[in-house]
Amino acid sequence: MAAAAAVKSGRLQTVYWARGTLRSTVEKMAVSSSTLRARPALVERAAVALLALLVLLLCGLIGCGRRVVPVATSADPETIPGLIDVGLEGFTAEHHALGARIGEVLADEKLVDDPLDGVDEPEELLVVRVDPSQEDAVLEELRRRPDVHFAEPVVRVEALWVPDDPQFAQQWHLKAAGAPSAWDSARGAGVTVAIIDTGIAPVDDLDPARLLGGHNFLTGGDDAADDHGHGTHVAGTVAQTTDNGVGVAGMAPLARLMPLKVLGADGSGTSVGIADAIRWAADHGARVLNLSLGGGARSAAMAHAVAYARSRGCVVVCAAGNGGGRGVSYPAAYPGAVAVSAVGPHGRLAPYSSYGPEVRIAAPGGDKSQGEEAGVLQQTIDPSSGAGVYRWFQGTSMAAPHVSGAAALLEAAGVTDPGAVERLLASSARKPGAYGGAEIAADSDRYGAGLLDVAGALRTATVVWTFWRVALAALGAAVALGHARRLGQIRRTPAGLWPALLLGAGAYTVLAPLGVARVGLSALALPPAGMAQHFVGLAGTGVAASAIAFLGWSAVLPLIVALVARGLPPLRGIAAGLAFGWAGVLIHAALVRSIYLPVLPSWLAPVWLLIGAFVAWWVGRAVIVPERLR
Amino acid sequence: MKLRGRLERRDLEGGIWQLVTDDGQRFTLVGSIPVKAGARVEVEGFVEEGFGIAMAGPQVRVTRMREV
Repeated sequence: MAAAAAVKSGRLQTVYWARGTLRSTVEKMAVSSSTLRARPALVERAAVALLALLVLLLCGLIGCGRRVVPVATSADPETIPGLIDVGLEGFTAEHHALGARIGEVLADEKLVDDPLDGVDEPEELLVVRVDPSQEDAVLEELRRRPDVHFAEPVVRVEALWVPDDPQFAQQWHLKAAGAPSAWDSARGAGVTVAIIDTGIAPVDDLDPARLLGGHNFLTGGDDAADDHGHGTHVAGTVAQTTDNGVGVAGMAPLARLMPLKVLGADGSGTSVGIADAIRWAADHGARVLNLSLGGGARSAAMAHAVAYARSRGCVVVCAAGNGGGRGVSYPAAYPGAVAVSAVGPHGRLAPYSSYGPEVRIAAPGGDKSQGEEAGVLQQTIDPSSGAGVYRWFQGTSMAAPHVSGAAALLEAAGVTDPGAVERLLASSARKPGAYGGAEIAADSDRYGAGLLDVAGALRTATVVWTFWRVALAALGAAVALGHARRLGQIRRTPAGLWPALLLGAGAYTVLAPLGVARVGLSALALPPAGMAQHFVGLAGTGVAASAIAFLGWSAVLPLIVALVARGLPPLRGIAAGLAFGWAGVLIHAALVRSIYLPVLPSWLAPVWLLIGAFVAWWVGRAVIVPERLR
Repeated sequence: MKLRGRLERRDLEGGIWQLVTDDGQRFTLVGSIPVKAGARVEVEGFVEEGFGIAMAGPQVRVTRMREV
């Protein structure tokens, strides 16, 4: 882990460069603002240009930030005394000998310098244990060598929030999937995940308040208790109660679980029962469906059920299968399903995992050929006694719920369209082998888009998207202000417009990764247009929630504010800014197709959003004109 | 159908039973398994549609099993 963290520090120089450029840009802005004040039209143009520049610089900064560890000296309490990492030019035996001369070589890895990323990276990484009293002198000596990219103490890197579940430290799989960093922005509140499996047992490390009423498709009743253990383990990976001082953690700790029992005590069931459960889940408010099951037989009923759930806005996550070869199981292989293959702690395909062109993403499923603790650790039941026990399981069934939990976190952060969830997970996926710093060739049949990294996906949905929302909003505002000036309707920008624009565009969501969910303010990971869903439920979970989603993702609220502001001139700038910000959010949502709206076909939702964006912009344009200038 | 082979308990999905036949085919077994893993057995049963947690080859519902 330390070695993997240290690899990332090779990008530090680039980050410093970007930060320096940013600082100088801001300074230039400050110097030039007084000159520009005299010419209002120029101010608007300069503001838009600088905002766009800022967006690009900050996006670049975030991209680099993914790979950064804090800079440290050996005096820093976060460093591990006597442990250093060294990035070297070229991969040679001489470097290993160098490591052996200065101490004990703990790791010697070959790295890949991506020629396309514009960053000159080391090709060899040594992790060496040295005499702590000599550490500074050794580092000094190493830094003088021309073939050394960097030499530094190894730093402990931890997420902002570490839960107090005593066995969390053994859950390598949650950390590999990026959950601890993701928990700073979202925890899955308000999202229901259907566990279509052997049922869920009410074990002590599952908060009963998060366990919804389910259905038993074997007996026809409501009792969906687990008599096998598989479903309880899977449910734990999705939403084990976390930070409760007991046992272990789960991917989306505040998500609700809907137990749908389709498999008996022997772990098997029928295609008809599974198809019925998929439809039931979609009709009863589940936003994510986890199917850690499968078989080799095609079933039209199940294929149609998957398509139905997808059309109702559900993310349908399925295990790829445990055949250990080519050939993905059903329902994972059906269109509309997210087929998940399994990897072990090093990010290498587990020997049992099925693969094929249908695989969309790989996630930790455990690889116990590396040892018992290389499995996935959750609470389950001992089926003979029904007592709660903590067990390491392995299988693609264990990989799928990591993706389901990740989907729940994204939904909670306002990405409600299943296609958008899937695209975000795919675009943020890491290279095969990345969990363990290994070098493995990309292979889309085995790994799909790559290895699950929910932290990266959430960073895009909060920080990166926020910059685009603000940029689009600012562009719309600049066009409107320029137009009003050309017509002689205004002389200067109405007071409060820009701050209100930032609020309407949800600029505060850039702060989400700093820990809004940690202090119970996870609504702040959403722009105002999507905030209602945080309090009333996601669209598709009920009529009222759906109606409010339609209203939120339209121009209704800025229109109401503008109508009020018409009679209160000092508020016009604020009303206009809010409307322009809102327009930026709506147009961005239409462009990235991130919002699911019930009833509307998926292609029509962006049309709704674009209409809303135009109306919001028009409202902003209208409200900035109090009267014609004399 | 009748199958002969070696009974395996595989550490997958919390534990599944499989039969490896003499010609190397793998079948996932469900139902009552009264014999210990590693034994050579004769299984009577029928192939099911096979949806479940195992996802590792055709599934046979065991009606009778004996050591041979």
